[in-house]
Amino acid sequence: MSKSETIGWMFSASLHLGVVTVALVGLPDWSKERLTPPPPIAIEFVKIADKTQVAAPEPEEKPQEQTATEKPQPNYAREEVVAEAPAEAVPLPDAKPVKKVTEPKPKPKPEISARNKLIARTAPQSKPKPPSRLKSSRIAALIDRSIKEEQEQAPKDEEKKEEKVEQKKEEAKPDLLSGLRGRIATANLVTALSNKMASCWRLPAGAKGVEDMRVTMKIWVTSDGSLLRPPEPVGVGDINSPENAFFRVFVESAQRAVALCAPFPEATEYLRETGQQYILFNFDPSQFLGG
Amino acid sequence: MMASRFGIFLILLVLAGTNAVHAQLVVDVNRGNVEPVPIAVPEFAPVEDVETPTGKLSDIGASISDVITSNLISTGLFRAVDRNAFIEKITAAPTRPRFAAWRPLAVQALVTGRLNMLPNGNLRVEFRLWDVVGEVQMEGVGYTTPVSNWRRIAHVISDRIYSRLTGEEGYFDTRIVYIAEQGDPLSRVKRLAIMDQDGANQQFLTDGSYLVLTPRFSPNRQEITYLSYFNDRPRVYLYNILSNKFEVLGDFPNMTFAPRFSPDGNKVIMSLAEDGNSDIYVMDLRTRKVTRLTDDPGIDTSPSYSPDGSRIVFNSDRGGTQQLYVMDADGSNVQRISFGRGRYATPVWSPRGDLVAFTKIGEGKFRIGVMRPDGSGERLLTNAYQDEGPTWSPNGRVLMFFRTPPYNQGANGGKPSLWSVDLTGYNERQVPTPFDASDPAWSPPLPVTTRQR
Repeated sequence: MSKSETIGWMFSASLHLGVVTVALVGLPDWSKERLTPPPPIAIEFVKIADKTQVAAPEPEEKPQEQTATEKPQPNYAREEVVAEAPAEAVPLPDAKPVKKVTEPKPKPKPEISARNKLIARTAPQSKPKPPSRLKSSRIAALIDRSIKEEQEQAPKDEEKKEEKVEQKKEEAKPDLLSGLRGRIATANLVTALSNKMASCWRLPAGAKGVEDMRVTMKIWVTSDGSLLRPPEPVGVGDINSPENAFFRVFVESAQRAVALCAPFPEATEYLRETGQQYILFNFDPSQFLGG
Repeated sequence: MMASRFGIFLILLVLAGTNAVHAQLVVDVNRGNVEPVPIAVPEFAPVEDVETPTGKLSDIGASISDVITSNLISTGLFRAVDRNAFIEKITAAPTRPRFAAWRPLAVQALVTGRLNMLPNGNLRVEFRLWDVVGEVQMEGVGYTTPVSNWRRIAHVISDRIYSRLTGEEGYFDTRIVYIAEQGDPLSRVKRLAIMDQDGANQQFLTDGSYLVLTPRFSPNRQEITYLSYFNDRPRVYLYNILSNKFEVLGDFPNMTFAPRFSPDGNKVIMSLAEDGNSDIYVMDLRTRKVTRLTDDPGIDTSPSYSPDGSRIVFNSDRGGTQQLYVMDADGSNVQRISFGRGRYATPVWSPRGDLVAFTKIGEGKFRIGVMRPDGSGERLLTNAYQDEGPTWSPNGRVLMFFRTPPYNQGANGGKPSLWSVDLTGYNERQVPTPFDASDPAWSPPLPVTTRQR
């Protein structure tokens, strides 16, 4: 071992010794004894029921305010309404006062020329209605005639329509956007149904874990949009078990929302066109409740 | 140019082709409303309107209905439909209600009940909860009790209705123990008082001749622990409500904060001071053995167990300011969970286990808030001048606390009162007490409820 190594070892050992000494002296908590817990004290029963269980002075019971706002009805009949000056004799219906019709002020007559006056004298302003020439005996013949005329006219109209349709068909190009339009229509329907259901759904907010709950309700509707049968939760298992109490309330809230929102006439056309039997509603409050 | 036109044409072709394929109509409902559920609670109908020692049976039926309605409305989750608008009169006949008569009132839940006096003098109360929309009975239960107990039965029925409609346990058949205060600010008389959760049945447990502080309910027994300066000696007492017996847990001259029960009720955790340093200790009530859990130069106070008893939340200034910390039940694995601005005090772990309630001190106010046990999701539920001392309802949905207005605010300045707020923070209500009130502690459900479940 060289001299420098010896000096190094000695230096290192003295430093370690110094650190240990400083730790022992400077950190008194190390050497301090751990605080002993206070000794337990013997149990002592104190019966002070008679002395201390003083009943609180009962506050004066306020008479319950009547919430009903009905006005008190008098216990006597109201006085009969009497005319100020009773007539001695009951006037006949004819004697009803005739309403004075205030005649509107006559408009100033337009100045009529002498020529027009002459025309007015010679030619009547409107022709008197001629007597009806319709005779009941001729009604049947008239009906038969109109039918014949329609039958003759109808083929011509149909031929014209068919010609027009054929022309249109020839002119029509393949509608490439029809699929897009259908999708937009479906999206609109989905949005409308979602908004409608949102207005009916009372969330069981505050229930433990409700923000993580999901349920899908299967709904069958009739041709007029009303419910064909009660809404059915899909794949929920046994919701009546005690550990699923929160989830049962959640599912019931969705069922209640469907019942409150029914009928769904807006969806009937889509279901008829597509031949679908039911609608699926996914109830998911995670976004709404910040889950 | 040609390529882009061809691309657009291809896309249009694909879109056109999809017209023939109709996907199943699936509607995502991502929104809803959280308005209160309309509920109707007609008067409970007596089978025979006889006179009882407590009053006429029809009056008792009306009172039961009133208590149930009041309980349910106080949650903020239900809205009572005006009785004057009722179309159908509910009778004692055991028939289904005419749902068509309730739907126009937008009623979603209907509670009907009937009363009957039994030959032995007891009262038989039956109720049914109906889903008006689904036209089905959701619940139907009968209770037999002495007539004088009608109010308690009303609370029990409220619990059943609440539980069935929300999925969580009710909290109406519970009590609140608190400190009733009277007198001048400098010479306040403080008495231990107890009442039903709705403020009824007020009773004093101590006579005010000695100071009582910080009562805490056992989470599973009808026992209260509190600190009292009897003969100027600080002692921790244990009071059993059912047997009406007091017991001294021990003399703790250095106690800095109230003791609190463990979830199984077999231990009491507290903070004790020595040489100006407060640390957390736990006492086993069966062996009276005291164990030290923290040993830090900082001030550790206000410990509260998690519902499973495995962890403890407390506050400490070991980091420089008063913050919330969580540790294992044996005192190991201490972690700080609060990092917001201001100071945090009186943490209380929710009976559900998902939240910790606390008093936040900052911006010149004391406010009640909650956060998750890992410190995330901090929310302040109140925003008054001085709200403090939160206590959880047994189902972990509602917090009760006491509010002290500033002294310059008229006649009520500096006088504390009890308030409750639910987890949404919107349903804040004052709890009626005959005198000033502070330091509330919520009891577990009374025995009959737990036995029924």
